[in-house]
Amino acid sequence: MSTFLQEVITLLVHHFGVDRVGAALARVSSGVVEAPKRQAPRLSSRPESKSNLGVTSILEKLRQNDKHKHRMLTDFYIDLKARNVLPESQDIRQFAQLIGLKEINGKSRKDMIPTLMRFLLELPTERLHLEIKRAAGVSEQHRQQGFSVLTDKLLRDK
Amino acid sequence: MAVCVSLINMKGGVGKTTLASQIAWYATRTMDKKVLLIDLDPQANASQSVMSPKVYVSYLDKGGLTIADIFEQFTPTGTASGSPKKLDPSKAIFNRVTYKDGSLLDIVPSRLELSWTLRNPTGKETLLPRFITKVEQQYDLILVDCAPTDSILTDAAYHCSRYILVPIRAEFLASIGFPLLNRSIKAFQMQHEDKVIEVCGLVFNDFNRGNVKREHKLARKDVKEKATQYGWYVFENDIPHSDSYFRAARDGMPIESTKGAHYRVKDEFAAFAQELVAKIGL
Repeated sequence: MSTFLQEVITLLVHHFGVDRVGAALARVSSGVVEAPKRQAPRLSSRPESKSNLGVTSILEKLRQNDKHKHRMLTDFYIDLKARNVLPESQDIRQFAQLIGLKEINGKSRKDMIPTLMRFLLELPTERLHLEIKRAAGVSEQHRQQGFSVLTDKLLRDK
Repeated sequence: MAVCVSLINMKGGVGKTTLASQIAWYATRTMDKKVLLIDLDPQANASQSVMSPKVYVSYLDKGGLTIADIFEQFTPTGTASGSPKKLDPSKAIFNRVTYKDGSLLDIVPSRLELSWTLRNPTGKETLLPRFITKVEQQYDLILVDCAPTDSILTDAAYHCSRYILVPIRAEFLASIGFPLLNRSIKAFQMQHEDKVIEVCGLVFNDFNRGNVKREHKLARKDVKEKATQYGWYVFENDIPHSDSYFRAARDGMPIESTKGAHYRVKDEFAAFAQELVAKIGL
């Protein structure tokens, strides 16, 4: 018997008396009292996991119907996941407001990517091509260049 | 027919451009409206913010038309013919975004050359209303972001507006600009008795939250008293200062989707916007 268990039983006997503790232990050994079930480890229920699976399966279906669009979207999806394009959540929000995606809920990039992908999936191929090109110009770095771009223009025009 | 609202205050730096852009975004995104924002300021800040600096510069470099072209469309160009050109209104409109539900945000950009119009303004004040007449059926709301000056540009805004919205800062010098505006509107109304134009209200903008400073309290009290005297409505929902508006302007984004914008800031703006749209019957 472990020291810890020994200590616990001593305490129980001290508090409840030998008879009550003995009776309780007898109920345990006879199976009347079951050991508490260990809580099963929680499965991940993050919506983006399911959604990302959804994106993958949609892309897979697209492969059969429109190979060109499938390639464009898959490349973009890979770039998105690798943060090669739209690296921050704010970039996705800004891109959404450029391409006409009004509602893009979620705080993290992971939450937003499936919504964005589904929107892009519905675009005609020609427009999709243009929008994907536009995504490359949406980043904090580009936003910070705004002042410089404007002053250069104003001085050049003079 | 679109409701046309001009944001006017003779005082600069009261937040006309920020407010115009954010109202435009709100009406488009939250109310699903078709909105045209007209940048009537040669500084072109609304254009630079809503379009983003890069897109704006690219638009100008490609020869995109601006509000300056609307005002100067009949001005002899100095070319061999010197004959006036008829302007295609759609060529002066930039589509910022169109959503699936049909709501959209368009802008008539401005440029520094608009200030040339101020040098030779004769007869040009009717060109903007004529332009609006041609395009207004495409929109629910037209917002005009005016320059902080009483000029041909302000007259043009009066001519095409049903409502005037006056952003104001609760400080002494800003409050002095407010009676000047009253005089300017009265002068216009005396000259154009057939024109229905109404100040839909004054909104206190960009003040410290809580409004505890003595100077703010005094200025606010002064303005409220005068507004009551003139019969001008003062919006119940103020727009307190938030640095998120600066970021929204830089990113060309609605405050609702601006990174780091506090929920309280978004709610305050939405409360004002709802009060405004109720006031103008949008």
